[in-house]
Amino acid sequence: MTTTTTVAAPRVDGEQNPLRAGLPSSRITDPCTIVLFGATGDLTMRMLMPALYSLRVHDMLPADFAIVGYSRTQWSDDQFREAMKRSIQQFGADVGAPEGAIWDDFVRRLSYISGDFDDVACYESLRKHLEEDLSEFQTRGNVLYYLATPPVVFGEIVKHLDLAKLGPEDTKGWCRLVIEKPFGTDLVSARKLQSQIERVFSEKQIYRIDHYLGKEPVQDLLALRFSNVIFEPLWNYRYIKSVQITAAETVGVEQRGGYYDRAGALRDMIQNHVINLMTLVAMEPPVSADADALRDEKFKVLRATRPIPAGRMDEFAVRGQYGEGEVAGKEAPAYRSEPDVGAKSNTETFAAVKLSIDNWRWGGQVPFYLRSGKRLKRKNSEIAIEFRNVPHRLFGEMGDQFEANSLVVRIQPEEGISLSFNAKYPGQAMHIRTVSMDFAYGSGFGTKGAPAYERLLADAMRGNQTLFTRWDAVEAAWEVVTPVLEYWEDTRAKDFPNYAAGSQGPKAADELLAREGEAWRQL
Amino acid sequence: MSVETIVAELHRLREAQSDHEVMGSTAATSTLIVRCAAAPNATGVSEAARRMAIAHGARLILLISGKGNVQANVCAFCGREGTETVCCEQITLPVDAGDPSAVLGDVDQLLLQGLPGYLWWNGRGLDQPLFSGLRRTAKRIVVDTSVEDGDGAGLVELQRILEREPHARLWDLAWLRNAPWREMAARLFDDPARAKTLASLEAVEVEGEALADAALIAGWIGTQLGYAVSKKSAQFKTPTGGRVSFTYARSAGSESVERIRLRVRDATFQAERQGNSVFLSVRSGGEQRGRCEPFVQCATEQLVSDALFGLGAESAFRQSLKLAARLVSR
Repeated sequence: MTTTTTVAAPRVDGEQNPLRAGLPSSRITDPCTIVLFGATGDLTMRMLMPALYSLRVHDMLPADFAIVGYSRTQWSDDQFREAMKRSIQQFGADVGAPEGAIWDDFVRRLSYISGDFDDVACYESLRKHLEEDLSEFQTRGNVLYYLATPPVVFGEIVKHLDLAKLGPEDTKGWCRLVIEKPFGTDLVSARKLQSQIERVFSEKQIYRIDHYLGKEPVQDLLALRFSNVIFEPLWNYRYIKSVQITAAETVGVEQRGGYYDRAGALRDMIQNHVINLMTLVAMEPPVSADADALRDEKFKVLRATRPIPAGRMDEFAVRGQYGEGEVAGKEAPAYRSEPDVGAKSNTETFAAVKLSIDNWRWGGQVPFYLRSGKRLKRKNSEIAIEFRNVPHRLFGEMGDQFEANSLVVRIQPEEGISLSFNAKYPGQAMHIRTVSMDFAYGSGFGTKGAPAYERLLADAMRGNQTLFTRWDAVEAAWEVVTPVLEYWEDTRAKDFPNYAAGSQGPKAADELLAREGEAWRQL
Repeated sequence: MSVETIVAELHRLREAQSDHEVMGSTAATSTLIVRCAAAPNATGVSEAARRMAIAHGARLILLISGKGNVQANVCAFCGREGTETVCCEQITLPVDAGDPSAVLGDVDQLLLQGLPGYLWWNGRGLDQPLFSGLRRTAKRIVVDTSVEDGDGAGLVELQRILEREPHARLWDLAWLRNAPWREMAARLFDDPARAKTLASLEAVEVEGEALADAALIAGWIGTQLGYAVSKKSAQFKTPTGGRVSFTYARSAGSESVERIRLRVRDATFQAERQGNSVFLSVRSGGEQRGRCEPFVQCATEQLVSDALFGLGAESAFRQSLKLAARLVSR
């Protein structure tokens, strides 16, 4: 008798590779050319090129790829290659020295175009590069444009890609656009930029990058919320008293004084990174892990975010600017003394806002406190969920000295999760003490996650938009912060500078929470 | 050495650690049971097991079987895990060749009660009562079917176990070790034009050290393509009623797999190990085109650690094993 064993599996169907189904996502399969606009800038040098080389070293890049740098600096291909080698040596900490067969193969795929971003001839040159890559490196005409330039030229570049027939309509393969933050400087400018881009690229082809979303603990927040049964029943206004999201830096504006003085903390951090984190904390469970299901839920949170009432801005938003002080034992200058910053600058280097979400889960009753600042006491990015206290204190006066539970997701510098709860102190008396369960990523799994830019570049090449921000969410986030921005622009801060470098931030930020009987977590 | 003596020794070790103020926390979150044959490989295995115990905070029970003058002993060892110093207890127990199961009672008493146990069954003997007994104490188990006696006997035994115990969390190192080969086989068909040709696959040929490795790769290909296996002919049956042959060629002294060759109607796709690379090629109409790809294989210790402490359930392994066991059990 003949017996057979049958298993259900994908059949050979269409052009999908059935052998790839279910394999751990490792190498990116689609060949492509990556065009880096702003190829001589800080972002390319510090982040993008080391990330691309690391992907190559770890055998993640497709077998067939090419990289074209495009910038104003007058360089030859060889000068560009040399500069990229130096950038990998300096900033590519974990990839080893760029040498040997892997580097030789990588570097021959680099080429460079020097020119202005509105120079039609340069786009013709870009076309030739893409055609050469198609023939020499078998890129199948797939192209990923990465705008690592100052935001002011985003629209210009997209317009010229279209004019030169290098947009999605005219490329042989897929065509995607990666855009760095900030996407606009306020609601009006963001809408204008979006209208320029959407004339050429559809939403499915646009990847608005927020590198915070590529960080391991941010994604683990999703795992924490949606792969554990113990948190979801408590994740609402009945059990959560408040949420604090902090993105604190010890650095000042470094070489970005010119940009930062036009932006400020609210635009630079709160409108994108911090609000994105808030949406992940507050959203409903998505129906699946696919990009749009997740982004639908994030958008709903922003739609439910209560607008800050005009005329009461100071009750909901606080700004600060650092004066001179000391950070980690070193003297730090005042913001107004930093290079390219005006001596009477009104720009905030610290921002804190209190938001509420009017939906079934949060009921407008849970304040979301968001803060971000430069030159603060400690570098610390975290999400802290503060739970309500027990309804009845059972243990009398001696036992009453305990805090409500809190759950903290640490994003940087030490990635991990802490849950605090209360336990009896050993002894005859009923003393209760708050203790903490700590999980540290560094030692917990014995393996490192991918750096944010590596992950996001790889996702863009794979066509996975999950960790990129959709236009509706960008627009909604601007709607939340623009009234504050306008108010601050119209009202000069008379007390600037109002916090010393190396401190916890301005006193007004403490007062923002003190009014509710709360306090910021210590940095 | 009796269990009582071992427990007393463990207690004495903890006190000594406390008296000498050893700066480190004693790990007590799980028990890692490692069975291995006596020298020469016991040293390497026990060192790997110690590193795993430190990384995962486990008490280590080392079971040494085979010839050799192994004495039961207890010791503690410490190592760095991140910024922490972690200390672990190690209990070494000889397995009596005449009555291997006799050690089971001792193991049971030395498990950290209420905490998970993990078993690395290193070496042959999936049909032994000792393995059967240890399975009951372990939450996750890793074995290696490629070292079993007989052609593919380990695959058949493992499949038999999993049919009886479908909820067992059991991994095969032969499967884990071949992950890079599955990736290489997939790369041969990433080009959409080539992916289509899999519909006309006629033969799967694998060359390597052990039949288990080869059969698991063939089983995986069959799983991905929705094949069944006819027990009578040890061939694949395609969903459209076609036949695909499976051939294994032994290359002694090689590491795991050396070559995978997939023959379709008008072409041959091949992945061949060349030192630290794999040469991926397509031969069609007398012409061959190919390229080298880096071949990155994890160390056994990492694979075991992933299997015991990291990986989730993977249905592809179960399905591939099912087909592989069919292929070898003629």
